[in-house]
Amino acid sequence: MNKGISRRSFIKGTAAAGAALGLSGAGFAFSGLKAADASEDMGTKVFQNACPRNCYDTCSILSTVQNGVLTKIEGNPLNTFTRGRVCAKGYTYTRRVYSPDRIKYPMRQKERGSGNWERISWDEAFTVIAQNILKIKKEYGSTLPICLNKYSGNFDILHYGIEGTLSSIGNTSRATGTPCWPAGIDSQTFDMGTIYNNDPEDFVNSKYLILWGVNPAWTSVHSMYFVEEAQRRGCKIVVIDPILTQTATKGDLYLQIKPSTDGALALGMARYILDNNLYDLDWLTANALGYEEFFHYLKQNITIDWAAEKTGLPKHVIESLAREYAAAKPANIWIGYGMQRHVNGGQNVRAIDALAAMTGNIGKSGGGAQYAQLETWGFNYHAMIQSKPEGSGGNGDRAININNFGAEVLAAKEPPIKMLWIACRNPMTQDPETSVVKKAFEAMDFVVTVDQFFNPTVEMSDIVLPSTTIFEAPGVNVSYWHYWLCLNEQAIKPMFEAKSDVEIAMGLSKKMNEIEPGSCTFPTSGDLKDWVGKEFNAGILKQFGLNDWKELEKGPAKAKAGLIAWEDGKFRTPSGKFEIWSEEAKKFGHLPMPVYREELKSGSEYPIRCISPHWKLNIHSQFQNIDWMQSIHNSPFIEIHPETAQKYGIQEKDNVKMYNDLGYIVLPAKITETVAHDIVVVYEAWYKDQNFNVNYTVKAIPSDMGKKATGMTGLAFHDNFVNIVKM
Amino acid sequence: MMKQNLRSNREDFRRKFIVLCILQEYYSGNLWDQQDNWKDNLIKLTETKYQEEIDLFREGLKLVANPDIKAMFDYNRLFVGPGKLLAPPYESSYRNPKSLVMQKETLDVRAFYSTVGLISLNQNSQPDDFLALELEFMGFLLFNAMMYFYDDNDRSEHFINLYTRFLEEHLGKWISQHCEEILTQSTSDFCRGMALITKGFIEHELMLKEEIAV
Repeated sequence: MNKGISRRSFIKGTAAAGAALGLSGAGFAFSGLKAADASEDMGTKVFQNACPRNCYDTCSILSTVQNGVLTKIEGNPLNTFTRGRVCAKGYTYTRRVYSPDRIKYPMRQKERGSGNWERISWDEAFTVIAQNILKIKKEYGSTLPICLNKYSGNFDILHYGIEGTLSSIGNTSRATGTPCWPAGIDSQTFDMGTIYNNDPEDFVNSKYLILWGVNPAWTSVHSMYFVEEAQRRGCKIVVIDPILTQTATKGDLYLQIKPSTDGALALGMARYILDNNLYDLDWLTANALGYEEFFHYLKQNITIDWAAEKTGLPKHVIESLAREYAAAKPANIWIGYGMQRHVNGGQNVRAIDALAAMTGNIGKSGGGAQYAQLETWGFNYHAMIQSKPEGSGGNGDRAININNFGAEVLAAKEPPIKMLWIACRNPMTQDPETSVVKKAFEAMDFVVTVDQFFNPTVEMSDIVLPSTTIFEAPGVNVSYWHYWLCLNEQAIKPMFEAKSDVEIAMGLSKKMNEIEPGSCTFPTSGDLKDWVGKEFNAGILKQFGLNDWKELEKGPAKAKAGLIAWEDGKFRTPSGKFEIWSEEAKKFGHLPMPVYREELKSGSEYPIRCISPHWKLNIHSQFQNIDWMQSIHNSPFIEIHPETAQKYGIQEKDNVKMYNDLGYIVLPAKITETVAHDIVVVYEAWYKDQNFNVNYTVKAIPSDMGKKATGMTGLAFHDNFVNIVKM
Repeated sequence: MMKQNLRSNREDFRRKFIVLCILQEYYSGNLWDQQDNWKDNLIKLTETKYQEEIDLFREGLKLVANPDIKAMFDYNRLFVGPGKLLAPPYESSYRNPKSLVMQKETLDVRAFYSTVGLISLNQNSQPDDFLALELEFMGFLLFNAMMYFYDDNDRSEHFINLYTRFLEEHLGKWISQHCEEILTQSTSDFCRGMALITKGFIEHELMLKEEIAV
């Protein structure tokens, strides 16, 4: 005691310094640590999860959690479509959850785009957001100046609570439509009443399968098992694509069609089938409306020579393709989303549908014109459907075209748009006309983004809120392709301060009601697992042969019926028939029949078509930022045909500037014969910390269809014309 | 030998504890809510007189007078987000081959805490190897060494051994690299100063440890 200080004075002396640690009495006052209880060993558990990404496959996942830490994920073998495996992207999930780059806390940016962020509490975040909403409502008499842009970042059913969040505050503006697939949806809606595909596991029963503008070897890896199994059983696989894809390499026949001329090929084939009496008149008579008119059109307007010239495919190839397709019973076509991202995409899909109908392949196992299905999506949408508060101003929600978002946000009047709520979406990288989108963000008074990683959209936000990964909050998932239903259990605690979108809505509602009682109808509390249960109804339980949704805790379930589309012949069109002639199409400003609509052609200034398809290691702006993906691949490139490259003096790995009047990108050349002479390919992606975005050059050109089923026309992503120059 | 060394450095316990407390407070982010307290902290840091022994500490002290808003934005870019952290305050960010948290490196730290019956309050949400927690843990060990100093020498020595081991096996393994990242990436005197103080102090501790070992 003589030389040093007493314990007492030691404590006294450090009390001020140790404000966080604190010291009380003789004990050490903890801050972030605590004494452990004996019961804290949680052992090893396995949970049911589902991949909710915008992908055909919607994998059933088993996740292993040791002492509360996610250590492994694997495919659930009980799902006979995903068959115990996930894809390369899915296997990175453990990395996503524990990435050091995750957004960890609610944060506020001092000036949009400045990079000056301060950390705030959830309470402060809710307060600031609530105040902004209420201020706008007061100033404009409604919440219509608030615009939601949410789409496909997470298709878990509880994530429709994001739409619910906005509904619960009043009438709002909504980014409406879908960028990816609406033209094809409308086509099949006009033809058959809705989109409805056979169970993809049924591919094995096909004798002939055309993969038309789809690259499942990259974008639906589990479907490839069934495609290849069909092939093993003797089915011929034909791949039609402007790009020699990895799927094409697996086919028995590959046809490099000129982009956007798929309808011409289908019509040419139809003419051959008609001329050679290879069509199924019985089926048409019983099930189709307008086939006589269609036949008349074919005879009057279509020749195989014309189709050959349009498509760039030799006449004899079209003839043999038509002959084989018509002769094989059953014959199947998988219509991809890529082929409808054109100004004539919807009309082209209608021509293919007609081909399937005239050969009597619709409604049959092993046959059909597969596009997508929403048959298994009959949930209650309990999280989504929220009532509007009493006295909400405005007359209903206002639709803003998701496919021309920037321009429409800027143009909105009476009232203008002042605030954005962005969730499950990254418009700054995924929308066309990036510069216009940026202007729209700049024009806002207030932007809230909910996300997991810092990206160009977060960069343009005032408030960012950290969202949970699929392992950190419960949910339930189905696919728009296969027929499985899979629970998503909460496997681990949310990392850092992440919250699920529904919890965010609850917190915001609580705050809004504190500030102004009655201003938000969203429930202010609730158990998320109970909320999963509230999504189920008798119909969906029956469809999947369940007595109780909790049976899904044992594993995923497959629909018990309805696996062969249109097997009952009851089409959901106005006439109840397959409508080759559609009055409904006419009402939406289209030709009633799949008459060929001219494709968009390149001009002299921008002579090259740029196709920007999906890349195998990402889904839009998701996954490419994860370390495992970066180790495999971390730089974009432009694919150019060798002769085109030679013409422009470009060699492998040379930096190439690809440009048009909208913008440009610079990226290294990959010289390959997999693309045609007049096409370049740049895969769409967001690379972390890289100023690459193919959408700098993509205009918001609408595709022909989409308005009926999705509210807005689609985007002709692949009608992008550019020039290239060596840098 | 060791006991002798510790006894003769009894005053050091107090100094070390003060530095650890202030660093812990800094990394836990509390500072930005209580900037007015910073003057007290500065006085405490100066009173430790480490500036007379440690060059980096001295240099650092000169830079940390003013934790202004620019320093806070810089701090968030370095340690908080929402972007990719320029100098992540997690051991695994430096020691895991892919910089991921909650991997073996984090769980090793968890296991170390559990040897004295401690766990992270936000276990499985906050990585156990968050720097503020590691500093708190060091403070806890030091506090106990101090507590038992007069009544139970063996016990006191046990805690100081753990302190040395944790320094050797964990904090000391990555803190220099972390501080170097800050010194490279930081745009504020304040954060650079704190990096110099942290680096100077921990490297000094490592050096003392080696002396003890000799």
